Amino acid sequence: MKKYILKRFLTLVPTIFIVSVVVFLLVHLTPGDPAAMMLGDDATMEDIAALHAKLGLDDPWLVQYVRWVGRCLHGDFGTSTAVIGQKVSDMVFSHFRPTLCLAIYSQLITVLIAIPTGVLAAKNRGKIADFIASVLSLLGISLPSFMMGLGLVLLIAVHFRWLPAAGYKDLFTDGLLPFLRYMTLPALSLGFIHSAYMMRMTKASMLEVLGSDYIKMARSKGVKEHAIIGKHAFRNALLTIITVIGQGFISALAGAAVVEKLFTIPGIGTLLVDSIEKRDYQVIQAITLLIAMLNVVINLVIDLIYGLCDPRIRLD
Amino acid sequence: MDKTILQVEDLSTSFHTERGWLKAIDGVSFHVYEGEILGIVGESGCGKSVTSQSVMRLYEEKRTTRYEGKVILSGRNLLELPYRSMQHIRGSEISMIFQDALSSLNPVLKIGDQIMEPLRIHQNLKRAEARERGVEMLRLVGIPAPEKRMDQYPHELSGGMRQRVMIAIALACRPKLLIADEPTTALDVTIQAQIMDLIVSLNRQLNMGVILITHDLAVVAQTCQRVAVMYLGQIVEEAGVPELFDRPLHPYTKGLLSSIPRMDGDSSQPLHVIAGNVPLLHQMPAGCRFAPRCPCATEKCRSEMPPLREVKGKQKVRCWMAFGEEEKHV
Repeated sequence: MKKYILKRFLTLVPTIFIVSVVVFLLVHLTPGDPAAMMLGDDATMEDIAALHAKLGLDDPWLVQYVRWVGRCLHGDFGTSTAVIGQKVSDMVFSHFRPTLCLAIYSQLITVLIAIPTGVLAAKNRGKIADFIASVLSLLGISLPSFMMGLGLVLLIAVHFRWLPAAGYKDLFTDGLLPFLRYMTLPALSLGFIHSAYMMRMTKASMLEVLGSDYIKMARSKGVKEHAIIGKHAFRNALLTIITVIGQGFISALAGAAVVEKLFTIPGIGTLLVDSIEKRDYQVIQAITLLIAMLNVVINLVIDLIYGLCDPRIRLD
Repeated sequence: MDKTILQVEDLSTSFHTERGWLKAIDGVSFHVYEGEILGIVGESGCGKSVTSQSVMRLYEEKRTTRYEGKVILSGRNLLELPYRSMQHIRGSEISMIFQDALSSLNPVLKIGDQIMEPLRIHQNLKRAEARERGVEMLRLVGIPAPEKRMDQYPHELSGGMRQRVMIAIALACRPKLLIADEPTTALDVTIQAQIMDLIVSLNRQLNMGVILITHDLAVVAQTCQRVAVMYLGQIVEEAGVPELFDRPLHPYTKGLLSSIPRMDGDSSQPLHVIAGNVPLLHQMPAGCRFAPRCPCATEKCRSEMPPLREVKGKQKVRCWMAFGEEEKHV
């Protein structure tokens, strides 16, 4: 297992390198002069040249890249070009917590809906439970998250007045109950689509496992049906499900923009959309890098969980 | 020796398919004595595995499977038992080993967990006791360093070892009957012989009945006392091993025996091949099922199904021609 973890960590190095190069080039290849943009239309050629020298924009790209990586490693992502004097790292960090909380909460809802339904549908294949689950999942897959969100707001917030329609309460400063009150609708609308997908994957993977020889062997040993599902089948089906959970988590983090806008949550998605409107390259760069890094880290975590679940993987 | 432990009477299993209900096996009757090895032979698709899995009721989905007939074990008809009672019988009174040990052992559970499971379910043993018994079983089936194996996973063992583990799991609760469904097909020849030797010696040591399902007549000749030959979901001949090999009565059995290559035979002659192909389940012939491929089929064979009837003492056969010969002898 130690060797497996070490190997998996080593594969991170090239991935992170490539990600950093792409993010670096993304900003440096975009047309337009950042110095000119920062100083505005009235700036003289001398002012621009002076700022160029100050920011090191005249240096060769390699030098700029190394300097940028060095700063990033120190947590310094530069200052915002749109909000004067604001540090990018502070902006990103303060917007990151709502998104992370929302993503975790929505994944929790997803898993709690999808896995039991999927297992149930596989167990009762062809029966009424399977049919209902299939219809629901088709609905979930076909509905875009903003439609789902708007529908939920209209029904639960406007019609029944059970939950607030928009706004944000922080889990740590405002407490659990306000957080749940405000975040349940966004988390549901973010998680529903993915839970439909995850349910289908759970069902397919359970069906495949239930048809295998070792399930027949377990039955021939006299293992009870609930233990066949829970102990013998589910642990094998889990491998596929974990992959889907990882993907769902990433897409919830990266794709929260729509839901965050809809429910006015001050998250990364909102910050990203605002920064794109203001051409705030430093912030866009930092967010892109952050999401890419999260992707890498989540995949690493998933691979490590694979190793825990499947003894065959540890050996390779 | 002559105590019957399993009596199968007129067992038919049908599956629901797109073409309607298809009978995979039709009117199968046989019995197994305590401490004997009964071979069931036949080519692929003849219903050997369906027979064995029907005995254990492993096809349990009610809407897609239908059983008829009787499977009597210790005075109870297994086909009439509620599902829960059946779970108590599986693994404790009847056990089964399968062809491919790699796919039949759960890849994410340790050998120890898999062997302790039937002991804990059926004999309510505590973990430590079950572990001790598990180690004992692994030692019994000839696995070196059994304590170490308990904590290993199936993929860490060789093919022969995995098959031994599966046998140990099946025998953990000392069942009265072991069904071995092509236990050596996936193994290479030397390991095959070791596993067969193991099954035979355990059969003697534990005095349990064994149903050995195989397509390998050589294995049958070496290990079994009696043998049933299956063709297209029916038993066509049943006899003691010496009788069957000395004097096969059914043309299908004769065909099978003469298609075995012989060391002392004329190697320039091509091997005997039974003409034609196995018909599909939904195109079943009306009379004798072997008639379309039989070299000596008559009109009667094509129109009327022969019963499985006793001729020459304990030899049973399902063939009009064989009955005719018998009558001539009398």
